[in-house]
Amino acid sequence: MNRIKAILMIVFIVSSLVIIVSSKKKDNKTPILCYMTSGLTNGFNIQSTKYMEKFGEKLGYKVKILNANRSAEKQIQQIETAISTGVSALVIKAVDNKLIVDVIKKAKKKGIKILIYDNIIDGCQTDMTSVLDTEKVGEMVADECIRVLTNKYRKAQGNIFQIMGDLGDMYSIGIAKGFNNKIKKYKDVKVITKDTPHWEGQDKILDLELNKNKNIDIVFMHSDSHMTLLTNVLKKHKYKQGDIKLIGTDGDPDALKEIRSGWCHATIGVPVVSQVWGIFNFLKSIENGKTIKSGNYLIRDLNCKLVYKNKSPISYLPGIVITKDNVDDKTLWGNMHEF
Amino acid sequence: MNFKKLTFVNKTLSEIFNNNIWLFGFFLFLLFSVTIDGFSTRENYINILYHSVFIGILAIAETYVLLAKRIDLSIESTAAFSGIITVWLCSNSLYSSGLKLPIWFSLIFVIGFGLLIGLITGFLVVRLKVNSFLVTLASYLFIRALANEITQGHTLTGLPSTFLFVSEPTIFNIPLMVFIMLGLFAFFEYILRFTVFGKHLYVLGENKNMAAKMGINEAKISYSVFIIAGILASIAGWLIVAKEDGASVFIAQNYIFEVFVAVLIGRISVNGGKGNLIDVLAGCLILSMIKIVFVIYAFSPYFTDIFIGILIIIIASINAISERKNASVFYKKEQS
Amino acid sequence: MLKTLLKAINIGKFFGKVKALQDINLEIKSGEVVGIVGSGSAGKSLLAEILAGNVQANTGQLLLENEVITKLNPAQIKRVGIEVFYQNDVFANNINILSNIFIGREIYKSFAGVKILDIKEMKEIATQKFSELSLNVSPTGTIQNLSSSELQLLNFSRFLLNPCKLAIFDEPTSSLNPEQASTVTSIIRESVKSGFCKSVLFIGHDVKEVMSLCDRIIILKQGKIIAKKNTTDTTFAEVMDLISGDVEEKEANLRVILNAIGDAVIASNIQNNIIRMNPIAEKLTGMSFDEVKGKHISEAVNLVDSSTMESIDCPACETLATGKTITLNKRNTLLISNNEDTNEYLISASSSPIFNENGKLNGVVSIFRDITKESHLQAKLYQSQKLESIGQLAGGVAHDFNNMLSGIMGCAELLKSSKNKDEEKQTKYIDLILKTAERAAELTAKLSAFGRKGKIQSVAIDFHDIIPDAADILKQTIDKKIEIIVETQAENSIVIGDRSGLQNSIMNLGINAWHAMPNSGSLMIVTRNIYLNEQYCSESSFELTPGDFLEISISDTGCGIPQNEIKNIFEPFFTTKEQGKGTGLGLSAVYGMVQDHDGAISVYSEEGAGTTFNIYLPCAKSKSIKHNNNKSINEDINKHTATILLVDDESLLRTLGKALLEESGHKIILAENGKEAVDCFKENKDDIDIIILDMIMPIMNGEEAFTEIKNINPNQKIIIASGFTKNSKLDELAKRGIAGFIHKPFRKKELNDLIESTLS
Repeated sequence: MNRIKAILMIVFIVSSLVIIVSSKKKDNKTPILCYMTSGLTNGFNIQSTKYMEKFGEKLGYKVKILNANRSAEKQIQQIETAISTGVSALVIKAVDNKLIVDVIKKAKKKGIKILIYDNIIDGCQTDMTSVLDTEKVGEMVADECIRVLTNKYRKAQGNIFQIMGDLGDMYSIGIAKGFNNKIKKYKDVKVITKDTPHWEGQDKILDLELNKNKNIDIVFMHSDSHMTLLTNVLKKHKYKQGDIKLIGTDGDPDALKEIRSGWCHATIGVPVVSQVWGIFNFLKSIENGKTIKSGNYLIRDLNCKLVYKNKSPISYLPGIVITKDNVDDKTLWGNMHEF
Repeated sequence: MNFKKLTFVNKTLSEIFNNNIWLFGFFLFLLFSVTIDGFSTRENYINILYHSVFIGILAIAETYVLLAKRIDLSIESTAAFSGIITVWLCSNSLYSSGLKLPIWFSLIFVIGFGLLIGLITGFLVVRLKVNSFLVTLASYLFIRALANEITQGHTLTGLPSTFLFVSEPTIFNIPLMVFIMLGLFAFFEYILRFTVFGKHLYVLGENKNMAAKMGINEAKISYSVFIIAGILASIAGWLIVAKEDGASVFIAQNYIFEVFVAVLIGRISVNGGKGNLIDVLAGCLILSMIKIVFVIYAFSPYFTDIFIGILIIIIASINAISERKNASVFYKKEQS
Repeated sequence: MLKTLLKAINIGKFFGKVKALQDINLEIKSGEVVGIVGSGSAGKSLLAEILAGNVQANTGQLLLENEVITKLNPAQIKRVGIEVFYQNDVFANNINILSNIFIGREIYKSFAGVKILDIKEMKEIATQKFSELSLNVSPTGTIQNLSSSELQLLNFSRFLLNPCKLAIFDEPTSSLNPEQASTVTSIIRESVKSGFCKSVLFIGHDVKEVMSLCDRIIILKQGKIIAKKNTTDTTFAEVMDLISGDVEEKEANLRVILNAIGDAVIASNIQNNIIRMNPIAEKLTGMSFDEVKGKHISEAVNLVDSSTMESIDCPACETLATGKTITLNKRNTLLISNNEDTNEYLISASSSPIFNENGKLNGVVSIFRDITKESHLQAKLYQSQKLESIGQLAGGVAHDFNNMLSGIMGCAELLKSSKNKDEEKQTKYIDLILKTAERAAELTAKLSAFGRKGKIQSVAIDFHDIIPDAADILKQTIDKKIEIIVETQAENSIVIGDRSGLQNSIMNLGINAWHAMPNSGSLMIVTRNIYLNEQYCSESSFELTPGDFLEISISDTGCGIPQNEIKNIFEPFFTTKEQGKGTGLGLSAVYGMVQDHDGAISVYSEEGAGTTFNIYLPCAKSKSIKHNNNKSINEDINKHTATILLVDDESLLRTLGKALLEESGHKIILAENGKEAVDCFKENKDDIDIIILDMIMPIMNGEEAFTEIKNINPNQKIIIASGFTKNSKLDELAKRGIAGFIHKPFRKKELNDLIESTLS
């Protein structure tokens, strides 16, 4: 028995050495595209994943979905493994956009195409980024607010309570920036802003504010996924529909539900499909090594702005205004019930 | 010295030759290389080693504790704490301490922390005779939480470039950390085999009564294994952040499970006294290969966890059965 | 001055309520080899562990080199130079032999505070030591698959590694063969001599081994030290006694048993001095154990023969001489108590030899059983059985007597009738009357002798005298259709025994035979001599002494005894007869009688064919005393004449007697009762030669008259006449001197003979 084992062992070791020495890069018949998602728990992620697969395959890639489950380390390991086992293009929705930098650099060195989704990575050069133009979204919200206030008071005046998300989140910061810039032009419109660390406790913040302040016209929440909680707070304070307008951004099914019920006035939805397409639209060119020119592009009926930042092209997409009129639009990600 | 080295190498090779786990490991390696697309690239082979560094170092730590018939669940958290504190002390990130301390300080600090944890655990287990499972279950929880409290849960990045001395160098394209890990394996295996401490550790884990009769200081050895575990865990954590240039709250998350997979594949008995680090190294490498295969096949993380859970049960069962049936099945006549 | 290395003061260890060790005090000095022995549960290993600091004692102190150490631990022990070699938990499976040996004794080089093993050196030393022990194992091998003797030698090899001041060994040779064990002990001895190990504490099982090795030996029993001895001051046997003898406990047990036995038990040693007595023995002998302890058994035990009142030697003496078991159970042994009352106990005694472990005779155990009551019961049993037999016979007897009386009466009437006045007829009838009367008298005599309740005699008897008498009675009483055949083939028919008892036995067997033959049949009585050898005697269930025996066979042609009942027939009260037709005592009485005569009885039976009983009695050497026989002396020769005083209350007898005697030429004076006799005697005392005195008389009976007469003239010849025979009375009177005894009714010949012999 021992002898057999010894012989086998020698055989194995020798073959292993042979294989190691002669290891070659395999030419993939189909190029592999890995979509590294940060998680698969919310609707946005799930929808994005679905379309990544769809569009990737349409473009002739073999698509692999790898879920880092909110662990930056895991994502890094997955990317490293993907690199070492052979991948043509990586679409990354980063868990942490700072920690991911080193491994992206490594991937870039190997000539793998790096495409960033829903995040902006600073510190390294990437081949394409497709993000929501948060500033634009903020501006769009500001426009809507002015319209609402003008309707109410016949002029641009009123009080807006802005609930931001986590101050470390670029998403929220971007929206606030766009919004505040637009709104500050209207002198008679007052904005009270509160942030919610880790995006938690938006309803409590509103509750506290309504206790003090009875003059709120509009409540603007940066993420609308807990819109129902806000309506509950309004109900608690004995407000009726339409007394205070609720506006959000994102396009969460929860918000859509409240729009339908009449409690939520409007929300700016993230255009998932377009955002995904924002990646693939340029992929062929990127593969061919062409440089994408900056400028305006039409991506599925949305006006996309492509700019270069640190030599990396970023296409900014605007949001979609969702009101009672178009709340049932099938293309809205909040309406794509698959979860 | 030369002769001793030779004997060591000789012994190790004979271990490998006579041993089943390495056989199985090589078999798996060949199998994957031949059948799985993308497995047989040189970068991948390097990754097999590279990805087993942290689990490997933690596995050494856990092995020592298990050999003494104790258990330590907290090494993952000690590693996490070390990593987070290192970044917190040294980086210039927004949420760091702002102290911007040098790299060597952080290493000494975390090693000191690991030692302290080892002492406290040892005290509770040896002196107060609290069950090591319970003590380390608690420390598993609060050590990580301690670090997160300090950073308020923020991800910290931006280590000074001195850390690149650790993370960047490669020898034959193999990162330095791999050699650090292999060095640690060799060093600790040597202690197990060729030192008085190692023999005493084996005897203590095998038969407490005999240890008492032979005058082996149970307290000293128990303290030692926890301290060794603490220090190794800290080193592992420090290396993690050196590699990733930053730490999030999820650093080293769920590593403890992977450590146990590696240790079980390496056939360390939870009843103490059985096993060696050569096998544990094989376990780490096998685990690494399996994880890589999971990425290649894009398995969901849930499936991965299911698989790892089942794997633990299967291996533990095999170990249990073979332990009963007289472990000499695996250990041949020549045994040191 | 030897230094004390290890001292234990009042060490005790309990486990809950169980006291595993108590009051352990011992001291081991430098240079000593001390051994500890004791049986399995004595606590030796536990003591070793306590001395080694591995287990903490509950009480007491341990001193290491005269320093009190609390919470002794193995590390301290090692530091002082004490090495301990345990029995259990000395090997680990997960390291190889070499590592196992050197645990705690590793050879290493220090390198930056780390102790690195010098495996090469250790291997060399191990190989060398193993060869010293003839141990054939490879140091790099594993300890699995090693035999227990190899493991034990391995454990011992640790001793050879480092010198020490004190080595404690816990049973280091228990799994070794004698050769290996002696290697170990000789190595220990050498080590002490050479100073490699200054002192040794050796715990062992094999006392011989321990004693050969150690200067001192400590004996542990159930957690206590029961003895500490120098090896030179004691013997192996003594130590063994102390250990396994459970001396005190066994003593207590034995005492309880002896006290409970209902017989007297006396144990004596090889000189026959008393070493043990139980309370019953004290009671019977009338002396307490303390009084006679160590004294010769004869000082306590006085045995006498009940018939001769001569001293008998205690059977223990013979047992000591011969080494054999001796029994006295003849119901003639009396034990005379030495107390004030000098009670007498009828006893059966037996003495058995005691042998020591080498088979040598070491002493005697004598057992005495008080059988007085038993004896009485036995006698009553016989008597009642006899009476039963008589009862059986009564019917026949009555019938016969009736016949005889009819005959006599008939003849008398014929004589009276005038038709028969011629002398020839008269003579014929008178002869007939006399003959019939004689027959009746014979029968009476036999029956009365038979019914006599007397002491069992042991005199020489000619069995061939008994048989005809028995046969006669039987002929008269049992079914006339049964043929009785007697064949006396034996040459030597003399046996020692009791006539009446033996006769009864024959009668019993005859009656049983009669009952077995309801129709006709034959009853045979045959005697012959036979030699019974040693083998037969030892195999027999009777106590027989090999030699010449008289075999008496009584066989019938009756219905036989079923095989399944044969073994029960000698049981008392066992009977196959219907209720009322026999109590079943007959055969058991025969059995007992035969036993008493040191004989044997066997039975052979075939259903439908017949049954034979064989009685074996040992032949006697002496001649028999012929009992009042009717043979010899010519009836008519009459040498002397005398004046005879005839005393009887019955007038007919007075008339008859007077007539008979006057015919012989004697002068007769008559008296009616005792008083008359005495008065008469007083008047004529010089004239009266012989007095024939009846016993049963009114006013004054024979006994009283006898006394009176004897008081007057002690030399007066008196012949006692009686129809009954009360032997005891007769004996008493005989002591006072009678001239003779005669049965009533008087036979002329008998009477004349007696007078003749009295006068001469």
